[in-house]
Amino acid sequence: MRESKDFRDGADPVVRRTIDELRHLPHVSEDAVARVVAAAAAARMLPPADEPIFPERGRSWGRIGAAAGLVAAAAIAGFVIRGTMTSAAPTRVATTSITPASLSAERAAEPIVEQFVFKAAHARQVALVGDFNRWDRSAVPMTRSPDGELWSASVPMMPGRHVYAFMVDDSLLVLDPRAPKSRDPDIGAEGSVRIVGRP
Amino acid sequence: MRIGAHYVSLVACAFAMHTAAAQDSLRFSGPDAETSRQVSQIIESAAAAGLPASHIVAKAQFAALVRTPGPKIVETARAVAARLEIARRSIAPHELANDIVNAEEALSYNVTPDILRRISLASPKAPIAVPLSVLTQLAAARVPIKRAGEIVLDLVRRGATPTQFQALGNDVDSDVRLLGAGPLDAANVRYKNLNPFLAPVNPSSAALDAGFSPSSTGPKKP
Repeated sequence: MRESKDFRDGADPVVRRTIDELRHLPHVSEDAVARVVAAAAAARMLPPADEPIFPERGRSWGRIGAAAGLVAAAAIAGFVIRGTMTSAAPTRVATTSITPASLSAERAAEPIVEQFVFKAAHARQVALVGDFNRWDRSAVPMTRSPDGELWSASVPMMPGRHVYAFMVDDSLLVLDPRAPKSRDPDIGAEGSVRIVGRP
Repeated sequence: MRIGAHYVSLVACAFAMHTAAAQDSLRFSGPDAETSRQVSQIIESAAAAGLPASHIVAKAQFAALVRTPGPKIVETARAVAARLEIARRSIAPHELANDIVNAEEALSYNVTPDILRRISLASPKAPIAVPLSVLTQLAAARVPIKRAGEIVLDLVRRGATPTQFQALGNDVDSDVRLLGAGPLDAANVRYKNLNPFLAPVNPSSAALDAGFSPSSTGPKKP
């Protein structure tokens, strides 16, 4: 049997170098240490899992009421947030959430964030309008770049075909010069077209 | 008990706010009261029928934004609602609102329900919004509907990715718009160039498609 040295005796130069490297601890920021210590201290201040979160009120009614309050608050937050997002989210998913079709759509289809950039050096304001925000000129105001020439916005959009345009100074509808355009077969107006799909 | 009453009223308020928000998303403000009333009725009926009614709102708002006359807006809303119903039937069992909306748009460019049905059957489990949207784009670029349907159906069967679909639609559009190419030629060239990157055609699925063979008018496959 061939003799093999234990790596811990440090005879191998590679192992020795590695051990030397590991002996020097990397620099640790004092701020980071302070944050970790503070977090650990905060965690220790939490009550054990079997203790009630709310202070004793003298009657079990208090605990029940508080728990009910939490549930109600969560429900309120959920409904309000969901309602707000349903009305404002620039997606084209049906908002008639009472129907099986639209329920499954909300579950299965996820929006994809798309960027829009438009050049308009002399515009005072630019908004992105399209089928995804029901052509609401107040829904997606675009942000001016520091040099003042470009306007941009990022919008979550459902996969598929979207027709859009830029509303300049709240009065002028301008097509995206870089995008395909198409004429609406029903009303004859042109719009820019973007096909959205997950890569 | 008073605390309980407060909670109940808060939850009731939340319900009311949520309902109001949902209603708000289906609200249409037209150029005049009569147009708004008629379009709102169409929207409500569509929503009650389980159709993605917000698509009608979007179309009507677009029409209003470009100053379409009121009667034309009503007519458009009615046409979209009718097409949504046909679209839903055509692509069943696909029931995603997004798929239905994209099928409706394809119908608006004269794509036939039969083509939609074939695409739906070719991809029974995956969403078909992207293939349908490219079909619409090809139709809008004046690629003959039958040929556009053949190409998209073949791409669906051969597992083309959304990126490949997007590239096809955008490339054909720019070939036609910027290079002045003929729509059919552009579609055939771009489709042919995609072929090497796609899975081979499944003979059994092609056999199901008698009379609608993807290669009937297109380029020969390598």
